[in-house]
Amino acid sequence: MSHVSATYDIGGIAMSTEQTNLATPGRIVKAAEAIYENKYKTDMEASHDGEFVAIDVLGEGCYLGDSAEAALQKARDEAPHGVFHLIRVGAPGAFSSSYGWGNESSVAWAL
Amino acid sequence: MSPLSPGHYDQAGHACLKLHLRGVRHPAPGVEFEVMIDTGFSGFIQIPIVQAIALQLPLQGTQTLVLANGETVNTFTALVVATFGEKELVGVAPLSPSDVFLVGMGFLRQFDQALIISKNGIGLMDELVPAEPVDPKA
Repeated sequence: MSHVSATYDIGGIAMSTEQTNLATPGRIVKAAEAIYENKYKTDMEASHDGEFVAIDVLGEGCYLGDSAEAALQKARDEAPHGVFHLIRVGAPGAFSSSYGWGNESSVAWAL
Repeated sequence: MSPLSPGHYDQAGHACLKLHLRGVRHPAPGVEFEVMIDTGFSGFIQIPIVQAIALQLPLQGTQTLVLANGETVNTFTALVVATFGEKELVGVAPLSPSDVFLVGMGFLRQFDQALIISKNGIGLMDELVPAEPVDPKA
C-alpha cells in the first residue's frame, strides 16, 4: 500500500502525517495506551484508582481529574491542540454500558 | 420550581426523559431529544454519531466502553452541553454507531437527580431542592 507523507499546520503546530496517522478510534487508543503503560500507569494505579486521566497522544501528556469532564477540561486547558484518550485508572474502560450495540459494536469502528 | 421532573416510558417500555442538547451550532438551550435512561451506563450521555455531527459537537478524542457482555469498543468522544430543568452542564459524550441516546449514572449524579421508577411512570427528583415538610396532622 502506498503512503504519501505530508506536513501541515494545526494552530501553529507543525505535524506530519506519520505523527497523526490516527484516523480511527482504535489507532488513537492503541497509541494512548502505549503512552499510559510506559509512562504513567504504575504511578496512577498506586494512588489514583478510580479517577480519570486524559492522555494526549500528540504531546504524550497525562491529565488527571476526579471525573471525565474534569480530566478533559484540564487537558484542554494545558494542551489546547491535543487529541485525548480517556482512561479510568484501574478499569478496562472509561465507561461501562448495559445497552447492547448488537452487531454495530464489532464492525462499526473496525477501520 | 417543582423538585420533580417527569420522565416517561417509550413504546418499547424503556425509561426515558426529554432534555436539550447543543454543541457549537445551536443557541441555548439547543435541540430537544428523547433519551433513554440506562442505569448500567456509568457515563454522562451517549450520543449517536450522526446526531453529534448535526449538533456540531466538538470532538475531543476517544475512550473505551465496556459493554455488558465484557466486550470493549473504542469510540470517539465529544463535549456536549445538556440542559435539563433549569440546569445546564457540559459533559463528555461517547459517540455510538447506534441510533439511541442514553443518559447514565454520570448524568444523574452531575444533575443531582434521584430516579424514581414505578409501573405507572418515571420521575426525577432534584436532590438539592428540599422536600416539602410533611404535616403530621394533615
